[in-house]
Amino acid sequence: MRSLFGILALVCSSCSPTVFVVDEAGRPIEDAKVIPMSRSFNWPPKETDENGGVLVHQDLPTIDYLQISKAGYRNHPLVNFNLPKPITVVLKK
Amino acid sequence: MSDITYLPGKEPHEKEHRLIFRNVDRKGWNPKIKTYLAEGGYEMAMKALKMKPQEVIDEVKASGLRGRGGAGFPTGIKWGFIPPNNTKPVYLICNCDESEPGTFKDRYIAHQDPHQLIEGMVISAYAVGAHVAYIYIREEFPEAAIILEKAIAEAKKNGFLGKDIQGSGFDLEIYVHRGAAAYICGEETGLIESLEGKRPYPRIKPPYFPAAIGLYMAPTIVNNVESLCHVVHILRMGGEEYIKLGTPRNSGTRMSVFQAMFLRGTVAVPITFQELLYDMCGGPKDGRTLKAVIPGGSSSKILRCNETFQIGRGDDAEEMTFWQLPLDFDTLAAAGSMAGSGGVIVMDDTRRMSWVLNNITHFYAHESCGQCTPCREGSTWMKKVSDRIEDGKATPTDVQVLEDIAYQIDGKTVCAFGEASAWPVEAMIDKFRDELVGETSDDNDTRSAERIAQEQFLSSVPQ
Amino acid sequence: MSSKIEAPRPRSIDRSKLSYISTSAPNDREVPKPRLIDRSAVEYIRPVLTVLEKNVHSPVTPGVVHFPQFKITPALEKAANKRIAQYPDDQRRSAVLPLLHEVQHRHGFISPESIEWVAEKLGIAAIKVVEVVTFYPGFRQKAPGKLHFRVCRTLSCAMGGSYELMANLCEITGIDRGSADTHKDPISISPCGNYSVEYAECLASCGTAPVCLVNDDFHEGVTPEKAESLITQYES
Repeated sequence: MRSLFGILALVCSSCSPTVFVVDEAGRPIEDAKVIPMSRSFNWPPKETDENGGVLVHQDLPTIDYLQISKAGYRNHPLVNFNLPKPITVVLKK
Repeated sequence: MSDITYLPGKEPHEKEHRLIFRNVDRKGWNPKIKTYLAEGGYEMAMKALKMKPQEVIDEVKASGLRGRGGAGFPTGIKWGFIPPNNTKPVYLICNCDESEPGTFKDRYIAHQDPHQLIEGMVISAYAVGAHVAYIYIREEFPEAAIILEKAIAEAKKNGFLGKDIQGSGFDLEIYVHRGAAAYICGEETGLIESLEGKRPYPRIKPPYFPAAIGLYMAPTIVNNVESLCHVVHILRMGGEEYIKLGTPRNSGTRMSVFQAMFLRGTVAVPITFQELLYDMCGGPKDGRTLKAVIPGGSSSKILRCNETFQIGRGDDAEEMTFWQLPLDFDTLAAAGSMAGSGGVIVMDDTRRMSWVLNNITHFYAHESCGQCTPCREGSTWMKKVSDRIEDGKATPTDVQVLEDIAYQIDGKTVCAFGEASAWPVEAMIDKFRDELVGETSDDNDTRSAERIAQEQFLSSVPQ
Repeated sequence: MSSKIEAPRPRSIDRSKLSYISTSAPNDREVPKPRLIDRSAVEYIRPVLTVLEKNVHSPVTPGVVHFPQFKITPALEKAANKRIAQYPDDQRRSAVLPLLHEVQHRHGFISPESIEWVAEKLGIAAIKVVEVVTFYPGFRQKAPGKLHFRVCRTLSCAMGGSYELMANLCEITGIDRGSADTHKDPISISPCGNYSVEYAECLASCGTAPVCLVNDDFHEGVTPEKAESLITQYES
């Protein structure tokens, strides 16, 4: 039974967003473009949902950085993906 | 040719016309002279020795053979540059210092068909009147140097080299000279300096055109391995026949060595990119799309796969998509790139361009010889700036800075290395500026690491 | 108070005094004479490094045990004479690269003594050999390991995974590449002295990437996973 809960917890945690994009006032930003990157690869870009969240899996080759951008906001420096999840990124106007 | 079988897995594509590479990866083939003689080897050398040197030169001129080293200079015309009233000895040098990233054609000839090269050198040396020839081979081919030396000894034993070759009265000695891992030795005057035992600083042209003032200040002809091998086939087929193999002004076959992460092989042109990448090489793997192609070694300008080009001038101009471009010297030059040494590097849509840029700038910063200031300093600066962009520590102005540095190097150096290092950077920024700028941020620290350390130290000291 | 400031006038210099000053100096101070360095003494105590030694002085690495110390042998002389004969008599300098290759092939690296030997052999100044040794990345000035890996790092191989291959090689052999620098110090040697690694710039086999040279053997298609088998095939 305990193992079942463990698996459930694992499934749930893997489904919840790992990155949140918010503006300076803390409001979530929808449709921000998130590109997972390793040193030499670009993964296909993802977009944030209405809560500003996006699910990024650790993949092979490993993801090292996230490039996060949205029209109307300043480019954010590349985000280190090895930080404890979930990562909250603040985009400035 | 149908009787030739190749090793399993190495069969040529049906559209491929193998001329120079005929014996590469061939079943039952070895680099011994016996095998080569059984295939009619050295017949053309004998034929050439019965002709007059000028006739050989005329034949090569008629064939329109263009140098396969990268610049594409017509070989026959180069041979004609030796001053007519020359009294000094003439030297022939075979440039086997193949170091252009993405190019790997000479390796196969030197390793698998050395006698083809030696025969080509005998003919060429006879045509230009050289009695001493050197093969400048790069240090990274230790095995090829041994194979070539063995082949030379064999040829000497069979009377195809040395004094009075086959009773013709023509003497020729070929020596192998190993370089020492310097890319700049591929530049012909740099190569000559290196052969003289100095640092390979390229000489300024004029006055040091090798055909007039070259090795030991004597007339010298420097030719690429592939060009010298083509000479054998030109004599066999005749210049008129040879010219029909290619497109006008781009006669003959051409090896285009081809590499990408998921596709690899060697092919012969003229064909279009569509045929090359999709029909012959099988296209990208895993449903990916192709993003960019470097068509002629890393120094040529990168081409985006979704571009269209205006080829031709005035009324003849026609619009071509990237996929319709044929891989020949002139069309690629019109498309703003170059055919160079024929090494095609392909990148698919997952490739991160700042990383590619950084890899290329690291190569040029390492290989710059340091003779001219713009190139020596500029290549290192480009390396540092592209390091920053790749690490995500750059500001948007850094991309502009990088472009400015590249244009400061271009055309301000003694040899073509300056252009070779600047062009890929210029083209990369031109075609992928959005992607590069997207990885930068205004919020990044513009201070250097030393500056940050200094400020930290000063703030920790009590006032 | 007058606010007028007089501009300083250029002083006239007494030229005769100038020469007086310059010639008088040596009288009260002893000028050190240029010392001749006794080469036999240098070997044992190395009191002051000469310019030559300063520039080519090779740090002792763990790999040095695998290579014999530089010694002029008849075999070396014979090979050298054969190389020198390839070039015109008045152009013996051309043989500097082949001679250095002979030395490096036998002794693993180029030592100061071997530079002097090459210079003497070709009848040129030692600095002309030094400038060649320090220019070319193909010449090493410190002993590599018994197995020297040269991994190609240029675009095609890098796309094929040569960075990962290098990381794997370093991990297996216990090499720390932290202090490596492509210009000044390209070679990293394992503490045991058996292995050393270096990045090479394009080994011209881009179709079979990633590639690497182990001593003089060429290996193609060495994906990062094959790093271990690459090393073990030499252990016997």
